[in-house]
Amino acid sequence: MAVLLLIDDDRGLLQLLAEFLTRQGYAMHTADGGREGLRAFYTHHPDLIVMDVSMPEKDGWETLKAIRDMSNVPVIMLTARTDEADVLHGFSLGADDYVNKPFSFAQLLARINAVLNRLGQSPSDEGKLCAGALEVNLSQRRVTLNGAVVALTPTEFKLLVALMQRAGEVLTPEELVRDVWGPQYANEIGYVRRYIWHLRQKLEPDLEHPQYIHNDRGFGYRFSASGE
Amino acid sequence: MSAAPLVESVSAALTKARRILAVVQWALPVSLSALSTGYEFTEHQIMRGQPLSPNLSMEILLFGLIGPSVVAAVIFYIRQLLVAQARTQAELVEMNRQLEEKVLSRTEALEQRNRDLASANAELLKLDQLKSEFVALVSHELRAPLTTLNGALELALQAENAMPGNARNTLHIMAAESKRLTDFIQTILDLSRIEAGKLTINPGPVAVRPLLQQAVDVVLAQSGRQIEWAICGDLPPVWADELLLEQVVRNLLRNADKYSPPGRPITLSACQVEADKIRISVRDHGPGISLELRERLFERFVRGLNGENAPPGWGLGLFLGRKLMEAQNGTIGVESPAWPARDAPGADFFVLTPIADMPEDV
Repeated sequence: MAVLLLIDDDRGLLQLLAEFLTRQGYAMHTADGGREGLRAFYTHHPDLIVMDVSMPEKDGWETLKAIRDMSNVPVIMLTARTDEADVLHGFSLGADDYVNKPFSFAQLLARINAVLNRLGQSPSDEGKLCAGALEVNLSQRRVTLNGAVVALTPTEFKLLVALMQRAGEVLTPEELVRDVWGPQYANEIGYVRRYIWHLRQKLEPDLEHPQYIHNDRGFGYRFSASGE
Repeated sequence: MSAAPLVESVSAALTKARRILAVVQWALPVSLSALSTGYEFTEHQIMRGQPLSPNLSMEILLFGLIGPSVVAAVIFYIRQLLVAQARTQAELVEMNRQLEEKVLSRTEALEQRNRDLASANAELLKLDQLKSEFVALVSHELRAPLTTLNGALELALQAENAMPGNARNTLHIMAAESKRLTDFIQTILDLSRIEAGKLTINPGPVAVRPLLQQAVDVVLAQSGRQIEWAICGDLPPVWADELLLEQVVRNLLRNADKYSPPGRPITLSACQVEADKIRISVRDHGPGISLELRERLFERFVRGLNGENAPPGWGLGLFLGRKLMEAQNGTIGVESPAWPARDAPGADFFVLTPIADMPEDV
């Protein structure tokens, strides 16, 4: 049974979330604020922490920094702030995911399960795909090229991940459509060419000689893991 | 450049000419008279004491008196013309002076007004900024308690089968209203972000059919409203922000669902309408939209129906939709009636969005 720690100064929310997640089969610990949260973290060694950003005294960012000094335990931040700068700040401090208030409990549960499953499947790489200067952080859904963030749409992100997860293999447009959009769109392969072209515009340093996404004419597309 | 120096120099020249003419007017006729009389006496060799013949008298009268008088009259006339000219000139100079004074005073007034307007504008911008900050703060402060409220309802509804019918209904109503409030706050926050120039656009290619399907799944999953699909084949992806475009389509679908009578389908279509644009349209069988309302429908707080029988809403969805489409280089519009039926003419809400272009030879 996974152990979760909830840190939030809103006691009402804390109580309700703990009850909801207990019903879903998690062992729950709660903490009313950052300081108490750190104490609970030392005591209970949770598998995952869900923590609010806005808390009096020691806020979520400070608490996250303190946790990251000691542990790589996954942390999902809750916040009522929606500015992109806030989200990026959270990720830069090592948050694994970010959920905006108001959220539904079911949505938060899905995020918790996704983070725990990901770690269960590949604890060593911490949910990252790399190819040369290109790095994809699966939990943060963030792509960087030479350290700079590349702005991809959600579908472009899925397409890139589909290619990278089977790096070295030639994937037909039908396979990519199935992976990215779902089997019901398997016949609509016309999308793929345009998506790949625009993805290359965002990723490839030299469009004449692509490093990452190669086109095997008549067959499909192949991602080069070496980035060469 | 002012014309006053030129006018003044012309005026001075005319005054000088008038003074010269005042002398010439008398000097020239007298001189002419003396010369011509002398000439007549010399020509006819008239000696002193000799009587004048009638012909000679006539000649002397004609050349010595009448001729110079005519010259005097012509010069007099020219002088009068010059006097009149000088008077007009003086009036012109005066008018110019007055005009320049007026221009100067108006320019000063205009500059003062510009300064006042700039100051009022700065004040308004400051107030608008304060308003946006206030709205963001209030919305932000509402989000946290709403999370708790929504969560409590969600938790309670997990055990709805064990509740009495009345309690269950009450909880469902509370959940629906809480969701409505959540959506409203989200809309207000989106608008304040757009108005503060903080909306981040993440453009890329967007496959239309999956996007529409996703929007339908989210919006109409519970209402069970039937959809008639009319999607053209081989649609290229559009160039938009995937999440924002879906947000606009979801909003149009919600409106169509709200305003359509039960049991009538919504028609969802998408086709290429120009060389570089795709038109996505949501057609309902509702009461339609009058011409007068169509012109204002995408403004803030304007609603299709008002009064007690109107579906719930704040009149912000279409305004937000317009802002979101403009931010993505697209447009939003409406045509009504959408159908020939008089009792339910319906409305056809559409967005026009550019195609994700790429060269043909790759």
